Amino acid sequence: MALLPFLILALITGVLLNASALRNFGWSFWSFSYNFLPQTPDQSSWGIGVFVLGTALTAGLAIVFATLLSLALAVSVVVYLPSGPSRVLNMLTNLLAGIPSVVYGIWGFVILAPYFGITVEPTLRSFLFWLPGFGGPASAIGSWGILLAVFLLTIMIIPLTTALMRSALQSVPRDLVDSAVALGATRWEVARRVRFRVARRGLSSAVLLGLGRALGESVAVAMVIGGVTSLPVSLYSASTSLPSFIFFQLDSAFTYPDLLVLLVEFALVLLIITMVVNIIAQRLTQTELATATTVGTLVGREGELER
Amino acid sequence: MIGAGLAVAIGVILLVAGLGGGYLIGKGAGGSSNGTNTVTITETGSTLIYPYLLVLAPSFESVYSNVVLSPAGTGSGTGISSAESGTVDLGGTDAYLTPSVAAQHNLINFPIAISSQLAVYNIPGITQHLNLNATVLSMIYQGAITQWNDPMIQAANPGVSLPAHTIIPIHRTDGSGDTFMWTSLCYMAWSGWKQSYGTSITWPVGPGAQGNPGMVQLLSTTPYGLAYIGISYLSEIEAASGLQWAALGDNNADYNGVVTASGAGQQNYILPSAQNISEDANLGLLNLQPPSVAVSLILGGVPGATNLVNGRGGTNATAAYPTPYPDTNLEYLLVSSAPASSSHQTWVLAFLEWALAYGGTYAPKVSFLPLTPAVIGYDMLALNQVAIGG
Amino acid sequence: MTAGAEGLGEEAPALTYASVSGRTRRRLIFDRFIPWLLPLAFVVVLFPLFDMIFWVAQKAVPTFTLATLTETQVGFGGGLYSMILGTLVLIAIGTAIATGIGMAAGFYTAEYAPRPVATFGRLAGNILAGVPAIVLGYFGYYLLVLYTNWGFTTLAGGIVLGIFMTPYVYRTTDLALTSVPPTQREAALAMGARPRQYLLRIAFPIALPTVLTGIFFAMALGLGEAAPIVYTAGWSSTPITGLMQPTSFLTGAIWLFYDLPPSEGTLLTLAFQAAFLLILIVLGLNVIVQLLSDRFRRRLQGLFE
Repeated sequence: MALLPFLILALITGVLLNASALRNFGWSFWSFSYNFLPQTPDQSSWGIGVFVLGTALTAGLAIVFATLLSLALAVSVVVYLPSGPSRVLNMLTNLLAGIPSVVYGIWGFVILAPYFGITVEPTLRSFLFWLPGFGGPASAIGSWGILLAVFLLTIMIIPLTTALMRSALQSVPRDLVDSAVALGATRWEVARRVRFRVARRGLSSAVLLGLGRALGESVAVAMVIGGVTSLPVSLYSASTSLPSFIFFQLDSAFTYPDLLVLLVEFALVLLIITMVVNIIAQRLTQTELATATTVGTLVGREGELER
Repeated sequence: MIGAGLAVAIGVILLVAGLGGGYLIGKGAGGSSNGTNTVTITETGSTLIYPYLLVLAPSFESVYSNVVLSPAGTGSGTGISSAESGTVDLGGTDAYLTPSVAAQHNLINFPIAISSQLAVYNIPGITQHLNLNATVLSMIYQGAITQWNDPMIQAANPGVSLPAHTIIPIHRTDGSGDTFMWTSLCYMAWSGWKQSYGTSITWPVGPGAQGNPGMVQLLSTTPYGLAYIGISYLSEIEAASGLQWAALGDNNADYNGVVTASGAGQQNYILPSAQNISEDANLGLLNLQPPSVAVSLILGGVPGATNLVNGRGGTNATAAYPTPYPDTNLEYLLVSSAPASSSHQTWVLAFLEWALAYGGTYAPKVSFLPLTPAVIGYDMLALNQVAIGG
Repeated sequence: MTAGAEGLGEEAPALTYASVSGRTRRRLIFDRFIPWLLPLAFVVVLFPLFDMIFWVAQKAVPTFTLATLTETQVGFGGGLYSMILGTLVLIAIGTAIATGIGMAAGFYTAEYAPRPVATFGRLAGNILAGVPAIVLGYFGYYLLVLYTNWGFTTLAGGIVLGIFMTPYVYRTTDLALTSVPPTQREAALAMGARPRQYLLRIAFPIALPTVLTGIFFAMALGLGEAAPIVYTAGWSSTPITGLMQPTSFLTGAIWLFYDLPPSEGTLLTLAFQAAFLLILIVLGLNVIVQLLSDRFRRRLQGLFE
């Protein structure tokens, strides 16, 4: 009984493995060259590289921004703000987790994209042109691309990472905080030198769990990433990602057996990547309560749950 | 002990379970239909056909009060695979099944309407319909033509001052029948086109957009962009500022007016109109020997071929159909010729017959064109086939 | 207070920036500054939240009537009835599966499983929670649509949704039971209760609110997901009459209707109304969870005192 979750997991992996064994794409699977439906079939190539790169870029950057923002949010709630405003802000942050990802997608697609194209990207380019990725050619267009996907992903995972970080920071023993204060540390110093350090495993696990969530998001990313399979030249470029590609191409794949199997391979690779990320995250938390803390995103009081 | 909060919580869970479960139990044994009860005709597939069937449903149901038409917009791929596995009565698709595949699954291509596609561009300062032929479009989407003032484009548009600006060719990200039509056009029109054709291909150049609304949105914010958009979105294209669509060449002659191998006469540039689109549909059928509806109408179908041929063929317009709009397509419903239940199939056939007789008047509502008499003729033959099979 | 070391020798305890200098002064100013700087992050987060909700509400509310909830979509008109019904049935199946598997597994993990097995089960549960929804959807498509030859069915959608929701119920059940104070068990066993009696009469009632919280959380997550059900439940324009039929659902309505030509304006409105309704439902669940957690926190506190 206790192994039921494992059995389900094994079933998922087994079914995908079974389906993927139908065709061997050879070594070119691990390349950056993807070419579907060329005029002569033997020129097709099935490289996963571009998709992994797009997934890594979007999820990786999103987790960087989400980490910084979530840290700021968690520290303000735990250290600085009085409990009343804290509770309201927690609840509002948690509300973000309750908005369907399709709504995120359409909002990004309709409202955010023009704003990014007209305002955000030119501004970034003129100020951050010296940073790799920010100086590249303009997307010239409605600005669906990596940057917009990163922004959406960032907001989407913030409720999770913030909740996890909040609980990690709250779980720092009171004595440690008190002794630092007694030694004359300011609140910020207590946060930075004591809380961050003591809670570093919990914080890292929060980052990894957030990363896992960002890696797997399909619908919202699909609507804003632009969906091209060429290599991106800057952060304004359109790109693609494993989950969004699966989501968009499944219908076409029903009429192209090779593509259907390719998508299984993609799903399998995605599954393995997220598994590894999640296992590392679990190893980092002594409390093993990551999922339970996720529940805390709605409860808003992770401390209670962790007892 | 158990407080109000708990009671509410348990109540909500029971309510959800009860409503969901109770509804189904109340419906009895799975709602299977027999003659006297309500019959549900299920359709799934192309999102292009979906609005059309939504328009048809209320009118059809008002005539056949015991029948419900339940269409679903899931995508052509889903439509084909569901029809093949027999889980739906009708599979909607933008692309026909080749006769061999259709026969293998006992399916019949049943054209239900005619749709077409526009080549839309956003060039600041240009408000008229440009002349573009399929070869030029193919070269643009391959990356072989990159500037709006390319000599080939200029030659087709004498007197228009084209900007020296890079063309941004936009394509669809999601698998789509529109992509199928457009890649068919590119494939057939130019031997330099490196890809094949299908609902989803790897594009050599250009950004992607999701769905037809995405195409309109992206193009309207992309100066010097070019996109292929289903004609159902004509009103939205007209509403967006700066967008205009092209008159497409019939490829009977190349851009310089040199007559191609297959064609006769000179390059004509044709704007989409009800008449031009219908002409192309008729021409396509005419060009296919033996006659069949399993034909791509792109460029009027290719003379003498049963499938797409990379032949740089022109529309080969005839005296009867002098101005066929080349980017035209039949929308199909796949229907089984060997149904499991012949009593149920009776109602499916009743719907198809009704749609043939009356559907045409509803087609313009979704910017489709009614089937031409020639296509209806083939459909009638197909219906007989189904009846025999059932 | 914080700069007490500097102020020890002085007469007045009131500390001003003028009274300190150099590094300490910089530290103090920084400490004043930070509380105003950090919450700026809330702006970044809350702007999208409000913008999204207002945008959706603005498009949905003016035309939102009772008929939106009770009428079936006919042609380009009608309401969301069949999608609401479909969502309800999908969530009902999902909740039943998730509650069944999740609670059973949680019980065993917390009370019966040997420690290594329990640890392994928990790890698997957490990993399962991290499996991308689209991967689950594809798994469901292969196993429940293709392999079983069912085609698109409500049942398949419900099952995949159930698998998606299971880890949350499982982990909260486990957590709720393991966090019952050990004194409760000792007291019960000392009074002569059998382990089963302890579990059902003592531990379970204490754990129930947390378990319910988990179930609600799972329901809220399941409601907002489209990826696991798009390619398992399919789509249908009519209200379902059986589990072996495809069904429509609210997230699908947003997705599908948004893509249709704008001349079908009513359907676009329906997409926003579906989004609005979903946000409302999730908000409602949020409030219930909040109430629930307040109540059980008070009770837990009572236990600990």
